[in-house]
Amino acid sequence: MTGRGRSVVACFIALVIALAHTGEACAHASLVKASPADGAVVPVAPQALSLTFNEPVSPLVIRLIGPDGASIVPRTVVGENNTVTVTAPANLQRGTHLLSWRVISADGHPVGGSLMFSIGAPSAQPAANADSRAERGVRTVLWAVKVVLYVGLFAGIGGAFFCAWIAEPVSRRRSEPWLLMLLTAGLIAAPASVALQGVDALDLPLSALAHKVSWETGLETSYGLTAIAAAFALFAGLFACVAESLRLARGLALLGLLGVGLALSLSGHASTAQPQLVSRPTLFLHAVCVAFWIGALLPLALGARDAAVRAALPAISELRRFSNAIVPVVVLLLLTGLWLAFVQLDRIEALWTTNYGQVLAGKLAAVIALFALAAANRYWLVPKFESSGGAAARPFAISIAFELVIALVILGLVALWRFTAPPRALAADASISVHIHGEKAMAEIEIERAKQRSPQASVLVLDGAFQPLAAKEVTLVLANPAAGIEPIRMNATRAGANGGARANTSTWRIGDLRIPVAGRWNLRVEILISDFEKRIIEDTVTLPRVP
Amino acid sequence: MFRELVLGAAGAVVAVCTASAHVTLETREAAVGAPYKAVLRVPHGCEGAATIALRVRVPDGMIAVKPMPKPGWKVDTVSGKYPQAYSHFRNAKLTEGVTEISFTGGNLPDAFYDEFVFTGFIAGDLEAGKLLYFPVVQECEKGVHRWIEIPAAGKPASEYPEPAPALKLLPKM
Repeated sequence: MTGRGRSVVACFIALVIALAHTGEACAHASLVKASPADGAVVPVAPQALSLTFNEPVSPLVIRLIGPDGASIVPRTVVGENNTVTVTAPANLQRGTHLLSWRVISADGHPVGGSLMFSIGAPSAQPAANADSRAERGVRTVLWAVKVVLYVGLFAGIGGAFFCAWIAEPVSRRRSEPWLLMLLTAGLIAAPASVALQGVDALDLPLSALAHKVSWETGLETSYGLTAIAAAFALFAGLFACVAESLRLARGLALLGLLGVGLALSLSGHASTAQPQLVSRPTLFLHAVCVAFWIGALLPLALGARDAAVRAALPAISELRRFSNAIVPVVVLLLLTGLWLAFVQLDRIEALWTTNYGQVLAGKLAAVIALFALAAANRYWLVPKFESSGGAAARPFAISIAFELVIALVILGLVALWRFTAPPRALAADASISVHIHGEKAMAEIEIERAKQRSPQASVLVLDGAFQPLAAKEVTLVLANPAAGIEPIRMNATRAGANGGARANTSTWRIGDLRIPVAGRWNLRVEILISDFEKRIIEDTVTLPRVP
Repeated sequence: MFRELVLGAAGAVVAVCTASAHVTLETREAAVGAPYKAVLRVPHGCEGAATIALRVRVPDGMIAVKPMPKPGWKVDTVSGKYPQAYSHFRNAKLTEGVTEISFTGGNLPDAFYDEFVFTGFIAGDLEAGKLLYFPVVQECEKGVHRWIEIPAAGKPASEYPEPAPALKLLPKM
C-alpha cells in the first residue's frame, strides 16, 4: 500500500471512531457547590470536604495546601454521583488552606480549579520578629557565606593588589598560598550566596538550595549581578597571584580591585539610595579603598612575622611604600563612609533605635578601634621597627594581626546589613510588584504584605500605550502546575468603590490574595472591556510565598 | 500506520468533546460569499443555574442577518453601521445591518439543551482560511458565562475556559 493510501485508510478509521464517539454526551463539568465554600471561615476543622459538580465526575488529584505551605494529598477521596467527598486529614492547622482539585467528566475532559477556606480565622502575615527556625537557619548560613565572600574580595583581591604593586618579591611568594586560599573560598562562596539569596527571597527552607528556582530567583535579583562581578574580580585576583610577569600581575590585580568596587556598588541598600548617580560611585570608591587597606594587612603581618627571625629590610621598604600610599586612601575612605552613613540615616537617633543603625554603630566603633591601632602603628611601632629592625618586629606583627581581626569583625557586621533595612526604606512595607504585558493591555500588580493583616493586592490595568484602561471586570488567575496547584481565580473589585471620591476605573483591588507556595506561577489577568470583549495577558513569574 | 490511526482518532475525539463542552456553532465551516445558518448550541447553564438570556455579537463580515423566532423567548436585534461596506450579491453593497442579537425572557434549565438560530451571508470580501468569532454572553438566574475569549496567535482554543464560538472560512465555491 502506498503512503497516501495508508493515510486515507487511517483517516477513515479515525473518522469512524470519532463518529462513534459523538453519540456520547460531551458536556462541561463545572463546580456548583463546595463545602466549605470558597472564601469561607469555619470555626473548627471540617471532618470532610465536598465538591458538587453539575454532572458525575471522577476525581483525578485533590491536594490540600496548609497555612505553612505544606502540601497534602488526602488518601480518602470518593466520587459519587455529582459529588466528590474528601475525608479531611486529622488536625488541620488554624489559618487559610487551599484546596486544589482536578476531576474528569464522562467525556474524558479534565477540569481543575482551586478554592480557599480558613479554619478559625484567615492567616495573618507573621510579625517581623516571629521568624521561623528554618528562616534563621537560612539567614545564618547566608551571613556566613557572605562573610567568606567579603574576605575573599577584600583580603584576597586587596592582598593580590598589594603583592603586585607594593610588596617585595619575597613577600609576594610568602603571601601567595594564603591569598590563593582566600580567593578560592570566595569563588566557592559567590555562587553559593546566589542560591541562598534565592532561598531567602522565596522564603524556602535550606533544603531548597538544590532547586532550580532558588538559583533563578537569586540571579534575577540585583544581587545576581553583584555575585557575577565578584566572581570575575576573584578570578582576576587569582590569576594576578599566579601570573609570571609582573606587568600582567599588576594589570589583573588592578582589574580585580576595580571589580570589588563594581560588585559592591551593583546591589545593596546604599547603592539604591537617591541620588543613585552619587551613591553608586561613592560606594565604588569606598569598597576599592577598603580592599586596598584590608588587603595590605595580611602580607604586612606575614612580612613582620618573618622579619622577627630573618632579614627585616624588605619588610621595612614595602612598609614605607604602603605608609605613603595609605594616607590619601584613608582620607577617601573616611569621606565616602561619612557620606554613605549620612545618606542612609535620616536622623541621628536611628543609630540606636533601628537595626540598621545599630549595625552601623557597631561598625563605626570597630572602625575607630582600627584607626586607633593604625595610628599607634604608624606613629609609634613603625618608627621603632624601622630604627631597631628585627627586634621591634614582633609587637608590630601582633598589632597588625589585631588589625586583621578587627577588619574581620567589620566585614561580619557589614554582612549583617543584608538582613536590616535602612531607616530611609523602613517606611515602605515589604511589597511584591509584578508587571505583565501583552500587545493590547498590561497590568501592574502590587502585593502588599502588611503585618498582622491579610495580604492585599492592587492591580492597575493599562492599554498597550500605557494609558489607563477602563474595565468592567478584572480577574486574576494564578496556577502553579509544577506544585500541582490548579488555577485560583480571584475577582478584583474596583478600588475606591467604597466611597472613594477619586474612583479610578483602572485600579482594582483583591482583598485577600494568597500565594500558598513559592515558585514559578502562571499569572493571567483577564480584563473585561465590554460585554463582548475581553483582553487576556499572561506570563510566568517567580513569586515568594505569601501565606 | 497504527500510530497515524491512533493519533487521528484521538485528535478527532478531543476536537468533538472539548468543543461541545462550551457554547458552540453546529456548523463550524462556511464558504465566503455564501449564505450561512448559525446554530448556537447551549449545552448547560451557569454552575447549575438556568439560562435566562443569550446575547450574540454578529462578527464583522457576516451581513444581512436575521434571527429565527423562538417560542418562549423575546428576540431583539441591535442594528448599526458596519466598519466597511461589504459586497452582498452582484454589485450590491451593504453598509449597515444587524450587529447584535439577544434572546431574553426564556428559561433553559441546566439539565436541558437548546439551540438558538439566525441566518446571514458571509461577505465575499472576507479572507478564506481565517476564523470568524461569534462572542456570546450567556446570562443565567445566577451567574454569567462569557464565551468571548479569542485565542492568541498560536494558542489552541482548548486552553481557554470560555472560548468564543468560531467559524472557519472556506474559499469561495
